[in-house]
Amino acid sequence: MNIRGLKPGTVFFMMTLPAVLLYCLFFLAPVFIGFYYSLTNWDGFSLSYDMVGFQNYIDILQDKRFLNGLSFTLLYTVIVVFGKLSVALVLALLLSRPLKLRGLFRSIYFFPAVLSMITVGLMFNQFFYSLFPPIGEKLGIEWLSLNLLGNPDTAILGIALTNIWQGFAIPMVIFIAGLSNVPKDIIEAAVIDGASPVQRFFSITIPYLIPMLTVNVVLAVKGGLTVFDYIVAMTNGGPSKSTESMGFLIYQHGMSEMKFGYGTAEAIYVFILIGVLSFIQIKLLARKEVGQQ
Amino acid sequence: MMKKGFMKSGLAALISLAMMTAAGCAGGGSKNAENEAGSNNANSDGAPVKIEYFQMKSEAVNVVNELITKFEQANPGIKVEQNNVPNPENVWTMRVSTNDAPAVFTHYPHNPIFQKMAKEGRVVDLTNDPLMNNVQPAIADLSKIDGKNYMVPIGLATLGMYYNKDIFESQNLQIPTTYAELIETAEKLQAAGITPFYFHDKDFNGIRQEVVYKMGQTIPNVESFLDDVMNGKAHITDNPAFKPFAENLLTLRQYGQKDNMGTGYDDALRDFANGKTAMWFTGIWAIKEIKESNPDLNFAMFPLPTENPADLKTQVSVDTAIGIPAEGKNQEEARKFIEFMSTKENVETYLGTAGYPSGIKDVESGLPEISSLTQLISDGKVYPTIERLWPPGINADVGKATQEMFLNKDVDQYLKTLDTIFYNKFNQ
Repeated sequence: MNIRGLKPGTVFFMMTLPAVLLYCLFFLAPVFIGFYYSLTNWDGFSLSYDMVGFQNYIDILQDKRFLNGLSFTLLYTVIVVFGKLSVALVLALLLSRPLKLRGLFRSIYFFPAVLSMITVGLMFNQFFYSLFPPIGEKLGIEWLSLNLLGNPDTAILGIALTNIWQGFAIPMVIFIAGLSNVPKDIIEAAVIDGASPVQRFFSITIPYLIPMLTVNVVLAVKGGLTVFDYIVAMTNGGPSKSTESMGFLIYQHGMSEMKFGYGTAEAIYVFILIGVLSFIQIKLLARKEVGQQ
Repeated sequence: MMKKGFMKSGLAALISLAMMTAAGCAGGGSKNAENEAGSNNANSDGAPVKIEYFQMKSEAVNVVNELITKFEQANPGIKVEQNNVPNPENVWTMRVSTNDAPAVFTHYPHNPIFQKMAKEGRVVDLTNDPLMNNVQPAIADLSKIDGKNYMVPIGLATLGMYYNKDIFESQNLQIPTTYAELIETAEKLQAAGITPFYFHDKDFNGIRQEVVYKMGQTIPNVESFLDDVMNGKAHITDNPAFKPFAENLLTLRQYGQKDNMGTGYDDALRDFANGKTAMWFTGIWAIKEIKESNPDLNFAMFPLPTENPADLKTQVSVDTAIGIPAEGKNQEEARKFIEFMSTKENVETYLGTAGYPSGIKDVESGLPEISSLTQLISDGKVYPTIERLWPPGINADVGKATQEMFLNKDVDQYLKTLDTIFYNKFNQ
């Protein structure tokens, strides 16, 4: 491997150079440039702008709209993570049993994942407007007889429900893959020892699923914190300002209200938040993996 | 150790290289403009001059192509390329910012980003230019930005009340000419078990359009008053005209469908087209889709009535206006094209399909459904969209605040919120 006297390490590094270069240019550089703009009052297209230091960062912390957006996003994330993962886990357990037509069911349940978020958002818009209200009226349920998305208290549920319907498929597939890794001999030994199905589930299956759970939680949390498409397709941040997520606010400030510097500063906050949360999750869950004690 | 050090310095070099490239792109923009301006004698070798017509209306692509063919036959030395892209306003801003402006473009004079770019000198000033000679004076006036015309207004849009003619006939109802008659009509319809109005209050955009329209129509001198508020010299809560305005918004909702907050624009359009409501307030842009949803619907529009019929006027926004960038190529050819596009005959062809009213003198256009609105416009009983002077984002805030008022029905709180939205905005 010794090319013209270069050390092997150098040669290997040179081979990765095109990828590293592209990564730096299209992923790392924008992060740094973005950070630079977050220190300015640039409106997104003017030729001139001023450096304002950390003023944007200070203003954001006093901005009620940002804080509302933050609490909406966190609540939304909690609902979506629990919703998605519980549905995914239950379906994964069912679909791992030796069923007739198992392959067909797996494809059917995976189907929502191949649709685009905007499409699903627009579809559910119609469900919430013309399908659910008549059902709610027949059953005499007051809050269901109106469009869920038209009420500031229930709009978050409407969006979360849509996200869960579409988003459980990928974690489900990951769980199914994880379930096939649970050693049959240990299960059999547990059956012989008289362990109940519930005991087997919590003491054997769950520990083997922890790596999948880690991946799924990280992905779902990330998906929840950066929710944008559903909001645009379904409520546009409304009614009033009740469903403005962080991603939506960044877009609003940066693109619609011509406060690019301010929007970028918000994006940096979200970046830090997601980074910290992902780090904590991975650390916490990694400790529970089989063979890691 | 060697390897690590190499990688680190390599990475650092790459990052700084990338940042320098990007900084170069962002900072060095205006320098090459002079070179481009000097090189517009492209037809010295006999090849036709190519100009790009960047137009923002996807529904107009076919008719524009027709007009271009006609133009090219009359001007063999010029080739026009039409360009219609998704999200055209952002594309336009980006291209003009990076000195890649199309030779001729359409835009909206009330658009805040366009206004800002025009004030920065990015667009050719056409005030008193021969190109403006054919424009109706009232329309030239309301499409001014800080007293200057930057585009030739061709097509106009307005809003009004759609009504279902069959329902009105079956209930023996006349078109209301005062606000009181409008409420009376609504009461009669409600008594007959018909939903008088549909509102699409789920979208703050729809509410925003209604609010802006009614502010301009009913509050005296509202533009200069709001200007004072935004300069910190007045308060909305001190202006007695705002309370009745807000109460009217709320009163009309009593005659609306049950789930107005859950109804979006598309839902309302479909329900109006299917005869579920007698009236619906929105812009003339819905006509085409209503006809597509239900070709048999017998409908027309009337202007939103005022307290006193003598005050009747309608809000006009420019829907197609053509301009030239300050640093554009082939400006002479671009002017020729605009001149061609703004002649009476070609404007009639252009507006024929959409049926919009025109900003050009003596043009006969406008669908029969909107004849009462077209009449108001040619009588000069028009006013501009007052939101054109608001900083970006304010109109969305107004729409959202109005949604809140519809939910909690608190008019006083609404006026206070409006005041916080506008007060001292120019000094922040």
